[in-house]
Amino acid sequence: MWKWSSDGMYSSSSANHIFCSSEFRFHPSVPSSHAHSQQKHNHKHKHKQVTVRTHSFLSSPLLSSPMEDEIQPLLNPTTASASPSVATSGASFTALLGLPPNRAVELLHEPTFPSDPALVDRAARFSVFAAAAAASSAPSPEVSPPPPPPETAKKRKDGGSSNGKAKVKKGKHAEEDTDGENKLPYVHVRARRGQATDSHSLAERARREKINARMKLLQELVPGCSKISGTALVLDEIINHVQYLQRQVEYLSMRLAAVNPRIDFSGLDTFLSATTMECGRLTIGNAKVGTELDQQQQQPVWSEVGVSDSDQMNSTINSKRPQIQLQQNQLQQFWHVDFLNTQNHLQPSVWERDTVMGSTAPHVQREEQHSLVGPGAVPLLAFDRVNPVAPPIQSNQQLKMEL
Amino acid sequence: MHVTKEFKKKTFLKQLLLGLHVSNSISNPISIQQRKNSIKLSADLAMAFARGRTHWTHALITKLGQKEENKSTLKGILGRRYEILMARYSCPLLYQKVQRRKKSVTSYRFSYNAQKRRSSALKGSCVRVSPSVVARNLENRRTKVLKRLVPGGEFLNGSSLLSEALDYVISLKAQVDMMKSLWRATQVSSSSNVELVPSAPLQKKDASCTIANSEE
Repeated sequence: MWKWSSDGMYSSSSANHIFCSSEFRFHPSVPSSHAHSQQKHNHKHKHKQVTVRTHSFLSSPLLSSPMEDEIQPLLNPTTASASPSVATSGASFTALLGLPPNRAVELLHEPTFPSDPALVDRAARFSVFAAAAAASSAPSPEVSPPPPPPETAKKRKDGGSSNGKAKVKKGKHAEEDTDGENKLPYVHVRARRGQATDSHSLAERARREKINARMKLLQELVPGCSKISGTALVLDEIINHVQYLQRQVEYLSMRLAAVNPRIDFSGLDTFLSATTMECGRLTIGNAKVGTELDQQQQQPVWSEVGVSDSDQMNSTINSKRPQIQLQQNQLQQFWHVDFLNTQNHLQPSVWERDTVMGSTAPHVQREEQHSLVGPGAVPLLAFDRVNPVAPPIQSNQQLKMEL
Repeated sequence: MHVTKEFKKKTFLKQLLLGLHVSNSISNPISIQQRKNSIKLSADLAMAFARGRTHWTHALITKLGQKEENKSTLKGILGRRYEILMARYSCPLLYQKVQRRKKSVTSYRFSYNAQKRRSSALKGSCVRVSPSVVARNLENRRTKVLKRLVPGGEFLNGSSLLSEALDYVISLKAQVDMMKSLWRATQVSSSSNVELVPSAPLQKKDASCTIANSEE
């Protein structure tokens, strides 16, 4: 009991986690459930993932740990053969304890969640599928005795088919070389009842399950694919979708090329701010209708200030004023206001301003001042396509373009 | 996921505009085709750059980097990473991989043809192929097509190919959305005074923007 009461001992380093789990092995008198809760309690707030893993070999079903779930979709089966020595160990997570401590520490002490939540998302979905698959298989929880050495585990696996239930764990070591962040290697595969426990078929089954899980994810992603059953047809749809997207990219780039001559990309950050602001504004939500109305009333003030070639902008803005009711037009006008920002604005500042959605009046006034100051505002006005006599402000080359 | 996709969009846009800027400044492309190609190039590179490290991004970048005319744009977008990538993923490595894969493909074809020949020899003129072989054949054909579509896909197989395809589809979608919004950004300012600005351009926004669009 004294062992579990001291928190500091187990929170200092991850190596201690291994030791505590190994210590647990040698004290079978401690009731497993109690130690379970104690361990959980001690480590829950500190190293959650590790906690789950350290007692995963006790009673939890496969794929219970969240870190494991993330990592599994990234396992590369082709590299499984690269480390046969570990693969042949055959035991599951328990083999981790058989590894040299530094390696185990490395495996256990993973970095935090990957920076790309897309992977997490996928992994979450994958884990759902995998967990569903695992749950459909052997339902009874397994309470394994203290982990046997790897060789006996393998023997047990082969001899396990003698029982009616073939419940065997197999560990496969696979490494991910592209993403250094997600590194856990073990795949736990459980053989279903009445199925062969051959190592080959197990590996094959694991591989197939992985492929099927990925196919499911792809099915979700590609629209209209969820109803189709059968791998070849789904692949067909995926291929069609990829080709469609690629064609769309080409088409859009063609369209942009057609517009391009009018765009002067020297006003780079303003353009950037304009487009990102569109996205940003929409992410914030369209709640701020009232504030935007205020801005429009200030617009005549601003438009009178007059940048060169302002008559064009004035006409466009004044025409848009009657369309105030539509929120989209508010966005457009906002966009116009921002669009005339000059290079004086650094992009992050614009971004922050937009996201804050703070007091709008100084927002506009600041822009006024800047539009007065900045010379860079001028070339952007060549952007107006409607007026074909838009004076070439900065570079003549765009005008040479003919549409 | 939406948050990081937003962030990636920012980087994507930045890179895209950088690339466009670079490609505009260096040469004076006359034809629309050239402009289109340069835009597409910048867009692809920006996408690959924003996505980070995956198989297909590396393959795409190396594939695009091998052509001479793209190098300046590459340099502009990638910056110092360009040299690193070029050094790491030099030609010989890819070539080796291609060689290896060719062998495996031919071996597979050989075995399949052998099987077909055997079955035809046994059963006379018409070739009866077992249904599993048919299914496998279909699947393999489509896998080959997918490998051709996904950049760098020829060197992957099985589940890794599928995961790369998944990633690629996601980023392609994001790319298309970004280019659409870019296009609409240009459209908006260039729309005429008189006509009512259609709600359509701004109505459809990027799917990955967490939108609370009430108008839609």
